[in-house]
Amino acid sequence: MTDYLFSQRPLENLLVLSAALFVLGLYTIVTRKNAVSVLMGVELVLNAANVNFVAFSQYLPGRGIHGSMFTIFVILLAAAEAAVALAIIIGIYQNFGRVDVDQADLMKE
Amino acid sequence: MPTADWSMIGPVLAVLAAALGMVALDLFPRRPWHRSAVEWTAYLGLIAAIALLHGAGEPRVGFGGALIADPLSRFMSLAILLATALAVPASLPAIAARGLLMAEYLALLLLSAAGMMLLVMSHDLITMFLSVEVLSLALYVLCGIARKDARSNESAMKYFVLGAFATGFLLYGMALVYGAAGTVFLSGMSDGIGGTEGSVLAVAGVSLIVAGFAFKLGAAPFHMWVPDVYEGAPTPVTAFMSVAVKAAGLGALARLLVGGMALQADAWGPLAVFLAALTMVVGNLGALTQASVKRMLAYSSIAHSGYALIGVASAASPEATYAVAGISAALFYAAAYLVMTLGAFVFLMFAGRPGQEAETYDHLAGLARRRPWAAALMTVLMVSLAGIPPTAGFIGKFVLFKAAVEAGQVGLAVIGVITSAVGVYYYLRVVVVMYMHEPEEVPGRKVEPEAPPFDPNLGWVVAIGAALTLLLGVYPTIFLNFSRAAASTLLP
Amino acid sequence: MEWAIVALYAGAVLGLGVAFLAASRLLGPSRPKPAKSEPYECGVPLQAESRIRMSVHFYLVAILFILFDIETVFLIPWAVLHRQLGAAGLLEMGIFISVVGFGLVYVWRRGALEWE
Repeated sequence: MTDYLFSQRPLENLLVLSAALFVLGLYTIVTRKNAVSVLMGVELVLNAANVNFVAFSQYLPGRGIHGSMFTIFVILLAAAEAAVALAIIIGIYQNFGRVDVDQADLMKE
Repeated sequence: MPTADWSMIGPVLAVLAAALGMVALDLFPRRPWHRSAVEWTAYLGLIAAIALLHGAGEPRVGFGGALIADPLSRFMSLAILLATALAVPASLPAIAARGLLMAEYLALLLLSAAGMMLLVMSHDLITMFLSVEVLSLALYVLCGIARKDARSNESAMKYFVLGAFATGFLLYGMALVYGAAGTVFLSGMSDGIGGTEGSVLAVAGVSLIVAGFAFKLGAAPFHMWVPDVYEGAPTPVTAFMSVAVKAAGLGALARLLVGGMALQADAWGPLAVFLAALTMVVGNLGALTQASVKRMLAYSSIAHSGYALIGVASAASPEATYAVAGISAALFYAAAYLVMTLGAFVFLMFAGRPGQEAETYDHLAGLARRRPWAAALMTVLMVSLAGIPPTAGFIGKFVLFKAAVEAGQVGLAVIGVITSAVGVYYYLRVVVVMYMHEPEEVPGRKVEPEAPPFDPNLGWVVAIGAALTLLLGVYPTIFLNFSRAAASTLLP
Repeated sequence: MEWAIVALYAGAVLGLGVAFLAASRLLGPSRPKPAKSEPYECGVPLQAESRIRMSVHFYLVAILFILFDIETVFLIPWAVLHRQLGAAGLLEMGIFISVVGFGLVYVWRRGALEWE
């Protein structure tokens, strides 16, 4: 099973690409202050997972189309998430005058 | 020809229809009866949903293997619907006081509940991910629904950023598990993955999924968002999300790990043990030092996630009976936690006045003299949260620790007992403040005994919470049988 | 062994690039003036900063467009298979489209599509 997974070069390449995207996305979420940049990081992470789904769906024979189906749902959810994020960011802007995630910090123990 | 077993998702459809109906009512010109029409649409949807939950019967898989209706989904759906039905009347005073859009608020509440019910029914990774997102997106908006309140906005922002982070973990883990198992369906997933020995994909995937769920459950070390989000969100939203998300998340986690990844228990078992132990310690120590009761309850909810995770950790045992006992205890604990914590959060509104909720311990000083019934109800809830008999909290902890010891997780049981003892201090501090402190001691706050109290409906919600807490504590057998039935159908 | 060739090639590419840049830096004349560092805008003086603040309305419309746009993805599988799916498929897609349509009506009535 594992031997098979890693003997196919296209799949391996796609997995490396996806892992790189995932790490870049996490890095963006953790280091960026601007809320819109954080949102971009989230999209990167979701798309990293999408690459994985499509890759597995394509290169493992007999795996069906569920991976590709999953991707369509994830794309839709990413859009919905962006819409909700926009509403929250506008609210933050109206209350705090900026859209930095560390700016909003009213509550401390 | 698509095969759709519509009766399976009857409760979900009822809740969704009510949510859409409420929003539709908003499109018509306002009439005097508008608010009560919206309110009764919500109640009607919830009552219809509970009525449609009927029947124990054999577990049924439908929608091409995407959904399952079994005792676990019914148990958890009932808990979620109960939390929603209590959250609706608890929300009305806050909606009026803060000038929120009533139909949107209640529709989001019901949409979130629909997502939770789908989550506990989901039988493949796609549906599981979709329903996690449906419930989360609705809750992000609910947290920030008081748009003019900066704290509410901050709460929504923090919940969104960390929730999206968790979603990323969960989804990436699902992608890896899909690659390792070759299927998205929970049936056949465990066999598809095979042993975890040497399979980087499977171990990484399972770990990322567990981390994602730990975020959603507010388990340490993924708990940082909980206190701020729970404190900033409008209190009825906090009451709803603190209990319903955990019930739904726990149900889904149990189904995924025990039902779908039984052979990989050596990968997720140690993770669950680690999460449970750390969460109990972090939650209880955090709660000790809080000046705000709302924040104390937020930390307490972290601690209770830890207790419930003991059950998941015990379920990693290869012995089927111990696994059933662990999950069954976790499910019962989720139900007990639901009634007591929901009641406690709503009490904070009930003990205050419109526009000024009780937040700090000082606000509660001398409450027993002014509002003896309210103080008595809160005492029941606090005693239960502390795990003292004859309450739901005691029975819940008892069955959990028993399951842990039987499954060989003695260490977890010991940590659980010690941290519960720590918990007694800060829960009973509330009782002591209510009964023994004088309200005059509070600096800078005028005591107005004649001030109008909050809506009496809030009192009913707290009373139902306290009554159910006592009921589960005194007659736990029916509910324990229910949760055992739910747990036993999980095993493949 | 074939990796050595790749490494050699990568080294050559890098070395050549660095050599060109260094030669240009060392040999070329460098007389900076403020006018030289301004962005080139058809030879006329700069009109405004390139970083202007756009109305959030553009973002709102874009997001609404994306939401309704992506929903249509779910119509494609049905469009391909609508004969096999028959009446039940039509009913299910009808429910789906009416929920999406309801969303559109709600957005419209709440005034999110108005520009002012």
